[in-house]
Amino acid sequence: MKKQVKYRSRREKAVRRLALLLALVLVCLLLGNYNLSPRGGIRASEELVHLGPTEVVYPIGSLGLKGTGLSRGYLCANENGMLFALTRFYWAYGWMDYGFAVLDCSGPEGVHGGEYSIYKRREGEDNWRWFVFGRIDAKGGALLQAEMGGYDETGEIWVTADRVDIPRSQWLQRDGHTYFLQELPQYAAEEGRAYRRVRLTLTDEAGNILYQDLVTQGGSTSLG
Amino acid sequence: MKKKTIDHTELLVLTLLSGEDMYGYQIITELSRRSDRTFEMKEGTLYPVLHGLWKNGAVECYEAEAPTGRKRKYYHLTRKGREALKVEQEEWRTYARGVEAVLSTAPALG
Amino acid sequence: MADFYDEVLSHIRYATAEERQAIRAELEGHVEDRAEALEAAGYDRAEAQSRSLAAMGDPAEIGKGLDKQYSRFWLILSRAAAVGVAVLCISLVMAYPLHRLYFLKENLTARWAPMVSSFQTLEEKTGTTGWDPELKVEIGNDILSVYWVALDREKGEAEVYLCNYDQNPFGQASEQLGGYVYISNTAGDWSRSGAGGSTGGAAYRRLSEIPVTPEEDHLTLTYDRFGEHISLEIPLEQEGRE
Repeated sequence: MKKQVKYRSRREKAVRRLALLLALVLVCLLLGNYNLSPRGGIRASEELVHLGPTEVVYPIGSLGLKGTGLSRGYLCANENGMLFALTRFYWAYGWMDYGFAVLDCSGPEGVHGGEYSIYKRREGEDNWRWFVFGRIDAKGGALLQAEMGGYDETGEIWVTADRVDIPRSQWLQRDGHTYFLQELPQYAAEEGRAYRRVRLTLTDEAGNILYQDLVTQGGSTSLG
Repeated sequence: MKKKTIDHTELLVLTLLSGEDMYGYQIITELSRRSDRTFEMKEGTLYPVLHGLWKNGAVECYEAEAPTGRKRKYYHLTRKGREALKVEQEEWRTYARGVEAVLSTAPALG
Repeated sequence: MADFYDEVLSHIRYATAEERQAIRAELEGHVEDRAEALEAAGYDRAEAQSRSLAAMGDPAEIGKGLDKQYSRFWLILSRAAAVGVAVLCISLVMAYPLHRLYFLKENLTARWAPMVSSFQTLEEKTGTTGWDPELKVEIGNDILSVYWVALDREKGEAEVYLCNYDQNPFGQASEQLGGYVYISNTAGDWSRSGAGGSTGGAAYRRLSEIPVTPEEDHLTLTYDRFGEHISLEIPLEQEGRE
């Protein structure tokens, strides 16, 4: 049978092309970085911050900001820290890391707090969200308060511009740890960044302060 | 290739090709010659049959020079085609036996 | 005569131009052969032609019979697959889908031939030569490698070059790791400046202006984050001075 088969039936052509397509897809999936699920995007962020494998504590869901396509936010944690991971789906690239804020929880503090401001630039519009999140290790707490404000010119006096309460009923339990996540209200930013700090205060039933400190960890992402 | 009535055209074509590769016109003339002119079909209608067999993978085709010196499209029976031929032959023989069986019960006609 | 073939083809709805051409040629060839045989039998050319065409049968019947064999389904499938292949080939050429190969390349480069900074090094400034301490430590699922140290005893300053890459050669290096690595001397003074970059498969960092006292024989590298504590001694060898 030493002749060249010069013609291929249409069905044969279709089958061969499909097989080639499938082979290429497999190559791309294996050698590529194409994540078919948001979990892959979270993993990418985990790798970047070197936090190690985490579990999702709370799925924030769609970001709800204009111009962010199909994107999701997830609050994740493991024993040592927390990761507020954003992931976005691109047709050409799959689910990719889209931004993150990370919080180291390995210290001895009673409350580990992080903040995350997510910003997508748009003409003349306020298109951003602001969260505070973290883990409560101290026992006996009943109410966590997040105060937005800053220190005045002297640097000594804390001025509160706004306050949000996060009572125990809103805390999240997972794997033996207590976590919290709270979106902070937007308000017209005062001049200067000083008024954009967050201070967390944990009090017990009686009102005694178990923990009070500024949030220093977290992150800020200007979305692409 | 299951059909309610047996389409003998396909069976005949496959049988011819089991011997050697042929092109359209050659099949027509061979068919006529071997069957002692019993089977003479309208020549054009061979082609839908051939293309159908080709589509289903029962035959392959290639271009080669015919004995006349011109280039013609030759058809070659594939392994799949040979399997199909066996099946069709069996079915035909069963059918023929059936017909014969019925006929043999008929009273002989003068 | 052309009408016969056009008539046949007109009933075939979903064939490509190539396929139509092939069908026409096949039918023409058949008629040609038949006409030749008739001529040999004594008919004149025109008579042979018309008889041959008539012998083919009803063009509509032939056309419809062929139409059944050229279905739309396979045509669309075949075309869709071709488009898909073309799209993937283009994106493969752009190389992004083969991301992990880039990681691999950068990972292996970091393992065996890590880059030296493009900034002006201490060695260039002071004319001293450095050395490769060949120190590697596992941090999480990455490997941190101290691959070059430059030392100027007279000036009392040292530079340390680090890189980290994933243990899996196809994996992504941690971008943030280098930023939390600190170098200190025995007196507890820390490095004062650091610079670095990451390309995915590997991340590099150079810590400079590390104060070194004349008697020091080692520096200490520390990483303390997410509950992971790493402490590494970098011996300051006497070789390579001046």
